[in-house]
Amino acid sequence: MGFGDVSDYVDGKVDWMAAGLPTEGTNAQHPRAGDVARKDVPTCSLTEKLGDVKTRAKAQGWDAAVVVNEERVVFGLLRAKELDGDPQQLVEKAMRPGPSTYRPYVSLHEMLHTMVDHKLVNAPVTTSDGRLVGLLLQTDVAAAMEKEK
Amino acid sequence: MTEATATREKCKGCGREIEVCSCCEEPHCPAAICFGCLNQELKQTLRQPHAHGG
Repeated sequence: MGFGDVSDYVDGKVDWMAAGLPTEGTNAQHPRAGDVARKDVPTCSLTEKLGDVKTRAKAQGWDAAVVVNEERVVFGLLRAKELDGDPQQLVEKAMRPGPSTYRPYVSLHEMLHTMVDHKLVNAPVTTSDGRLVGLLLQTDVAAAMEKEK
Repeated sequence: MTEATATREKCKGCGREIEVCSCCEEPHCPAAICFGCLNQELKQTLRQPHAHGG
């Protein structure tokens, strides 16, 4: 057929998209969760003190942080409510452990619907092996959808 | 009725009883949903077209 170098992506198309890899076709033109998620979200480790993380996040203009390991696999989430806890407490005690995560290919329409229904101000976007892509803010999703119209 | 039974919620998708909403993990979520239905709703997984293996 004229193809010189052909690879078979064994894990399938959905896993390809979940890794944030490029796609083609009509739907590929619309922004998705992974495009809008903020990649500059502050991260921290389980063993840090909550007060230190809050200070760092605030300095960057954030009221949330994602708890990850050295491979950026998401362990937990600190939203404003958790960040306001005892500053001496360890992150692992204060965080929301194992938060629901979303894949980068989820459409903005579906994400907004879910976030409004469940009153989520933000939601972590990860690859299918749990690595952090970014934090999706409900306000960003609404703004991106408005821009799409 | 035990406390555990009283606080159980029903998934809005399949009606199965769940301990807490898989999406927000908040008690008394009006749109409580189980992990399976949430993933199907967001098309993060697809329902198998057949019950058997193929």
